[in-house]
Amino acid sequence: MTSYPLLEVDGLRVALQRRGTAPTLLDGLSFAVAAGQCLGIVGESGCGKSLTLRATMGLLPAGVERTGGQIRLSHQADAAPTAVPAGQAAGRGLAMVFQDSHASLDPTTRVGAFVTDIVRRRTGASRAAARRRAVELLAAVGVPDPALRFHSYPHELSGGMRQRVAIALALATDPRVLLCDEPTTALDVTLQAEILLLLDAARAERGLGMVFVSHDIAVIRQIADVVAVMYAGQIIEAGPVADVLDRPRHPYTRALIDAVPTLEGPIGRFRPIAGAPARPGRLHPLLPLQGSLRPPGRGLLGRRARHRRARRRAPIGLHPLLLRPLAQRPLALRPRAGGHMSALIRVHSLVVDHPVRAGFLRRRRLRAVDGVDLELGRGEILGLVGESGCGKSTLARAIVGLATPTAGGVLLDGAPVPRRRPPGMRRRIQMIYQDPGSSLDPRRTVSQTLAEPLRRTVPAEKIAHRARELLEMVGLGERQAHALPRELSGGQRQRVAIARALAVEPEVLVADEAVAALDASVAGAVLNLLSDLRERLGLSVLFISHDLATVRGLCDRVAVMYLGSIVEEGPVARVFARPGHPYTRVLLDAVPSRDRRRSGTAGPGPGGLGGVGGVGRLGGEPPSPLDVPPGCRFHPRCPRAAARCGTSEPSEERRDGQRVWCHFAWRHEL
Amino acid sequence: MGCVLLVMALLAAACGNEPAGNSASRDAGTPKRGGSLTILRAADIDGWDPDKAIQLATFQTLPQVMEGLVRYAPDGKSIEPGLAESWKLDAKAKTITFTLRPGLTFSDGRPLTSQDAAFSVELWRKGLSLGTLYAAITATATPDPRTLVIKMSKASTFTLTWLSNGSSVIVPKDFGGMNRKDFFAKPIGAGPFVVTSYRPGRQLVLERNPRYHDPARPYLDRLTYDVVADPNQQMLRYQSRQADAIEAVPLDLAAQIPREEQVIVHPSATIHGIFVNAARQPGNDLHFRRAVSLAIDRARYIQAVFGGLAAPATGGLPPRVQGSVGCGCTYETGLDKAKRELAQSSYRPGTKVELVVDATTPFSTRAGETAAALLRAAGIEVDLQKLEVQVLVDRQAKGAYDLSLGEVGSVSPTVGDIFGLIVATGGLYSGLPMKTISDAFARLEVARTDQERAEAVRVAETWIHDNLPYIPTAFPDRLFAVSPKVKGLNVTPFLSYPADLLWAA
Amino acid sequence: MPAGRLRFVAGRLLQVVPVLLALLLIVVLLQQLMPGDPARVIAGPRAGAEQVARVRHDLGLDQSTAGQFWTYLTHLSHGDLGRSNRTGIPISAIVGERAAVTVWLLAGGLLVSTLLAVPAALVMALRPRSVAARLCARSLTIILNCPPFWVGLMLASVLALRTGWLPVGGFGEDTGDRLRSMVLPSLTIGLAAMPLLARSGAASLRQVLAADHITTARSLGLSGWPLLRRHLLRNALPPAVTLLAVQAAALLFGAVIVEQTFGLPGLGAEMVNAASQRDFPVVQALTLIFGTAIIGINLLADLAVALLDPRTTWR
Repeated sequence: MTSYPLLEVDGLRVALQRRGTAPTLLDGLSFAVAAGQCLGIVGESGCGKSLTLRATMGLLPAGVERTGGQIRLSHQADAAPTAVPAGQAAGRGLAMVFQDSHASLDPTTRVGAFVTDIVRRRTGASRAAARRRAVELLAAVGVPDPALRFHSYPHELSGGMRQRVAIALALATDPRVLLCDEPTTALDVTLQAEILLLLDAARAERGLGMVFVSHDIAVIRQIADVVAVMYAGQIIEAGPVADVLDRPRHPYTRALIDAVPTLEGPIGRFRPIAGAPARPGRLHPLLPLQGSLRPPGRGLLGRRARHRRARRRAPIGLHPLLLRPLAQRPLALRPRAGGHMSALIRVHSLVVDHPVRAGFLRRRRLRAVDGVDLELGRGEILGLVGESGCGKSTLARAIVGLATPTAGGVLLDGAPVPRRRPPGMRRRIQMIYQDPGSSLDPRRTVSQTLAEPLRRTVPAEKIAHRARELLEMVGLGERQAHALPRELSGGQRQRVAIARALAVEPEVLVADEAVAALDASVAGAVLNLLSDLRERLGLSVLFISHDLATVRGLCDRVAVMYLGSIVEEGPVARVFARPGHPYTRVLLDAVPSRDRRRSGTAGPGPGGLGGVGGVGRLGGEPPSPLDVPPGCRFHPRCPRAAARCGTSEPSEERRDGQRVWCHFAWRHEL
Repeated sequence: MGCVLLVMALLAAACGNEPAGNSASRDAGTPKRGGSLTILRAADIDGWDPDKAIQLATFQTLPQVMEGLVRYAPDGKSIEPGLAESWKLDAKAKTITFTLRPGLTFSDGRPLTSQDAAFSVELWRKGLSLGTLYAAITATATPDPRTLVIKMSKASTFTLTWLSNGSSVIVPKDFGGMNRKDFFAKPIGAGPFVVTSYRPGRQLVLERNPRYHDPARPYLDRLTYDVVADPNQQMLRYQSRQADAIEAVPLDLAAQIPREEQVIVHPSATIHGIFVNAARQPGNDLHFRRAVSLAIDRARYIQAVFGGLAAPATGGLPPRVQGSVGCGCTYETGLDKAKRELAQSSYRPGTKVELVVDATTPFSTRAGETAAALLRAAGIEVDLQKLEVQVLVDRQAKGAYDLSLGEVGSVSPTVGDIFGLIVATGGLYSGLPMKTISDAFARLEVARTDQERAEAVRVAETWIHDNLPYIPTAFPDRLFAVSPKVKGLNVTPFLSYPADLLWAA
Repeated sequence: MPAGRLRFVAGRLLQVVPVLLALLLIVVLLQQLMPGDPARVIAGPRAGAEQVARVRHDLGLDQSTAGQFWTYLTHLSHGDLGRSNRTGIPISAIVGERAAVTVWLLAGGLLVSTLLAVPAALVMALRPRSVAARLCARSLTIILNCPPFWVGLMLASVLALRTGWLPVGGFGEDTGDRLRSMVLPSLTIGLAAMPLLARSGAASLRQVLAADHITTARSLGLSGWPLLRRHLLRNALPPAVTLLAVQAAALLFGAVIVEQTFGLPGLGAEMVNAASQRDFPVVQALTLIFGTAIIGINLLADLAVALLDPRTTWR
C-alpha cells in the first residue's frame, strides 16, 4: 500500500522584494510530511525557519515574496498531493499555531464566537451546531469550563489558555497538516509540557501531519519524528530525530546540540558557537547532506537530484569559509566553593506589595514577595528559579533598590540598606536585563554608553582606556567599541550591558533573565563570561531564570520560588538530584530533555509522576497573587497534597545544606 | 478674510468712480401697489427699543412700524406731518401744540390718542442714551384725545426737528399693559408696516399695516430685511437676485455693481476723521494737531482710501443737513507746512505715536495704512495698531490712545444731534473742554431762522477748525446697490429712507 | 458587559461633572478677561458715566465673581440662560431657533467627510501602491491646504451663482429649501475635515493590518470582506473615533466660518455677532453650549471606544 505524503514542499525560494538583485532568504528548501508524522525544524534565530512556515502557508510579510518552488498538498486520504496556488492553502488543509503574543488573537472577538465562525466557514453547519462543535473543540484542547470561557475575550485569558484557543482555532479548520511556529517558546516550562502533550495527542488522534519549528533542540527531541536543521536559509542536515541528534553528521548540528545545557550529564562550561549566524543568501549553496529521511512509503526529503552526484563525491565536504570556528575549550570544572561563604547580601523577611486597583474605588494589595529569607555569599552564583508571576523579578528589584520593600529588609555586608540608598551603596549592586536592545541607548555608541558610568569615578583622560579594558573583560574588541547597539548581535549587546554594569565596580550582579532572549548557541558565551567574572573579580551573581538546565550549568546554589515565597533552596546539584519539594520535582520533570525522549504515556519519569516528560498533572490554573491559597500556597495544585496542607503553613526543614518548606519534604515520592 | 482676495481682484478696477445718477431719474412711472422686496443689511437693528438705537439702520426702521408725530421729508431737508396732521408754536415758541389725525388706531385696532403720545414723550425724555436730546421738554399736556401740548424750557426749534428722527416713536400708553421688554420684543405701532416675523440677527419681515392712516401707502405688500454680515455673501445673493437691494455696500465692492444699479449718497452726513487724544502728549500740543491736519493730503487720501467715493472735509460737522454751513475756512494741507508745524511742536522726532484702527474691515485697515504713510512722510513716527472694534471703542472712551480713526454722522435732518455726541464724548474722545461747543449748541437750539442757525454753527465750526479736537479728513459717500426691480428709493444724507414709498417694478 | 467596561462607563460619566463645573467657571471668568465694557456698549456713546453705571448694575456686572458664578448657576438650574442684552429676547429661544441650523450643518459636514474619508482610507490602506491610492494621497494634500472660506466661496460662485441649482446662502423656509441650502456648506465643511480623517483612518488600518491577530485570522483562511468586517474594522475604529471627537471641536469652530460665508443663521454666526457687540449673556450661553457639546462629543467617543474595545477599563 502506498501512502502519499500530506505535504510536499519542493525547492522553495523566498527573497526580499527589491528591484535588481533581491537578497535570498530561503534558498531552495524541500521537505515532505506524511500523515501522523511530525517534522521538526530547528535552527538559530534568523535562519529562516519561521519564514519557511509562512511561505508554505502563503502568509509572507510585506516586502517578501516567493520566487520559486512549489507547494503540494494532499486534500484527501490516499490522494496524491496536488499543487496549491500561492496563498490558497491557509485554512484549507493547512493551519498554523503561532508563538503566543498578547495580540495573537483578535482582542475584540470573543473566543467562542471566533471558533464558531471558523467552524461554520469550514463545514457550513448551522449556528447552533457550530457552537456545539466549538465548545467541544475548546474542551478537547483542555480549556477548563469551556461553556463559560466561550464568552471570554482573549485579554481575559492567561497565556497558556490563549495558546490552547489558538490550537482549537487551527483544529477547527480541519487541517491536514498543522504548522507550529515556536508555539511554546513564550510559555512556562510546565505549561510547555502540557501544550506539547496536547499537540502530540491531536496529531495522533487525527492523523495530522505536523511541522514544528523551534530553536530549542530539547523540545524538538520530545515532539518530532523527523528533524531538519536549518542554517542560513537552507536545510543542512535532516533525518529521523534520534539519528540526527545522537549521531549528528554535520559539524554545525553537533555544535548546536553541544550548546544546549541539560539536567543530566556532567556540569561543565557552556559550549556556545562563536561568531554570529551567517545571513541567508550570502553563502555558496551548501551541499545538503545525506539526510535519510524515509517516511513510511514513498517520499523524499532534503534531496535534490542535481546534488546526488555531489553528495557521493564529498560526504561531508564543506566549504571552509562556511564553517564558523567552534569555540573548543577544554571542559574545566569550576572550582566549587565548598563550605561556608560569608554572606554578602542577606534578605530577611522581605515583603513587597504592589497596590492594585481591583474594584471601582477599592485598592487591593498584590503581595509579590511574601516573607523571603535569602543569602548570597561573596563570589557565589545563586540561581533563582520560578515560573512567571512567582515574584522573582520583584525580589531582584527589591535587592537592587528599584522596588521599595513593604516589610523586612536587605542587609549589604551586614549593614542594613536604607530606603533611599546612598550612591555609594547603589553602585555595589548592579542589574542586567532580559532585553539588551532596550536597555542600551540606541543613539549612543558602545564607548559612549560605557563612558557615562565611568565619568563618576574615573578622571576624564582615563575614561577611554578604562572603557577598552572593560570591553576586553567581556570579550569585545575595538570594532565593537564604536558600534551602535543595532549593529551588534544579541549576545554582543548583552556583553555591553555587562560591561556597563562592571564599570562602577560592583560587588553583586543581578541578572534578570539575562539570556532568555538569546539562542542557546549564543547564550553560552554570556554565561561563561559570568562565570569567568566570578573567578577573576570575585563577583557575586544572582541569576534569575526560568530555565533549570542553564541554572544547573552556571549556579552554585539555587532557590525555587512559588507565588512569592521560596519553597526550596540549596546547592544546585543536590536540589536537582533529590528535590525536596514537589514543585521542584514537577519543574524538573517538565523540562524537556535534549538527550532522551521521555515516553509518551503512563511510564513514570524520574520521581515517578508520569506523563510526557514526567509531568505530574499540575491541575488547575496558576493562581493569582491576589488570591493566595491558605496554608501551603502550593497545595491546590500539589499532587501530594493532604488535608493539613490546606490549613497550616509548612515550616522550614533542613538537610545537608538544603532548605525546604513542605509538610512532606523529601517524602513526596509515591 | 475672503475680502483679501476680492481686494486683490479689485486693485485694478478701483479707480475713479463717478457718482451714478441719483435716485430720482430712475423712478420713472407711477407707483404700483403690491409686490414684495428683499433688502440686505450687514447688521441687524439694535432692537425695537428706541433708547437702544445706535446704528443708522435702527433709526431708519423703527418709524416704519411705530410712526412718530412728524416725519422727515424724503429729501431730508424738512419735516412733514406724521401721526400729527398739524402743529402750532406759541408766541414764545416754547410750546408746541400737535393735533393728531382723526381716527388713528394702532395696528392692532386699539385707538391712538394723545395719552399714548404723552406717554411716549415721557419715554423719550427718560431714555438713558438719547434722553439728553429731549432735554428741552419739561412737560406734556393732553387737553383732549387729539391734542398734545409739549412744553419746553426754551424756544427749541431743534427739538421740533429732532422729533422727526427715528427714535421718536409713538407707543401705546403703558405699553398696552405689557412690560417694556416684552413690548419691544413684539412692538405695536401706528406706522405703515407691521412686524410679521422678527428673527433677531437674521431676518425681519414687515407687511403692510391695513390700518395705516394713509390708505394709499405703503405700496409694498411685504418688505423683508435679511441680515447678512459677509460682504461676499451679500454680493452673491444680490447677483443671484435672492435679494433686491443692499444697504450700505462697502466701498471696495462698488466696482462689482453695475453703474445703473448704484445709488450713491454723495456725500452722506458723515464725518471721517482722525481722533486725537488731546489730554496727553503729543496730542495736547496744538502745533502737533495742526501738523497732523496739514500732513493729510485730503485729495490723495480720498482717492486711496475711498476710491474717490467721498468729498474732502470742509468742516468739522456733517454736511447736507439743516444747519450745515462749514466754517468758511479751509483745512489746508501741505507737507512742508506740516513739517514746520511739527518742528514748532513739543513732539520729539522718533517718538512713537500709536494710531489705532478697526481691524475688521479692509476699508479701515487701508485707511489706517494710508493715514500712517502720510503722517510718516511728515516726520511723525506712527505705529499702526489694528484692534477689534469694541476694544477700540473701549480705548477711545477711556482715553487710552494717541490717534485713532473713526466716523460719526447725523441721524436726523438737523446738524444739532451731532453736537450732543461731540459734547458727550468730550470732543470725540479728545478731552478738550467743550464749553464753546455747548454754548454754540445752546444758540443753535433756539435759532429760528437759517441765518441764526448758520451763525451758531459757524461758531462751532470755527472753534473746531482752530482747536482741532479732531481732524476731519473726508465726508464719505454711501453706496446702495439697487436692482431695477426696486423703485421709489430716496436716501437722505443721514442715510434714512421712508420704506412706505418703495414700490416693486 | 464585563466589569471593566462598566467601571469605565461609570467613571467616565462621573468625570463629566467637574469638567462642566470648570467650564461654567471659565465662562463666568471670561467676562473679566474680555476687553471692552458691555455696559458702555449697551448704553451707547452718548450716555454719561452715571447712566453707564446704572446699566452695569442692571446687568449684574458689579457683583463679585463668586456672586456672578452663583447667580448664573442658579439660573441655569432652572433652564434660564438669561436674556440678550441687545434685544432682550430670552437666550433659550435664540438658541432653540438657531441650534437647528448648526446641527444640520455639522451633521451634513460629518456625513460628507465620512462618505469621502472612508473609501479613501480603505483604498490607501489596502491597496497602497495602486494608482487610486496615490491619487487619493495627492488630492488629500491639496484639499488640506485649501482654507474653508475660499472653498465655500468658490463653490458658491461656481455651483450656485452660475448655475442657479443651489441657493448661494441662507437657510430657507421649508424642508426642501433647507436641504438644498445645506448642500454647499456641508460640502465645504466636509472637505475641510476629510483629509485628517482619511489619513488617520488609513494609518490606523495599516497598523491593524500589520498586527499579529490579522496574521492569525488569515492563517485560518479568512480574507477579503469577512476579514475586513470581522477583524479589521472593529480594531481600526477606536483611534479613528477618538480622532473624530477631537475633530469635532475643530468642526464646530469651522462651522462658524462656514456660517459666515454662506450667511447661515446658526449658533456660530450668533456667537460672532454677540461677541462683537459684547452681548455678554449670549456669549456666555453659547460658550457654555459649545463647551458642553464638545464635552458631550468626547464622552460619546469614549463610550463608543469602550463599546468597541473590550479591553477598556477605568484606571
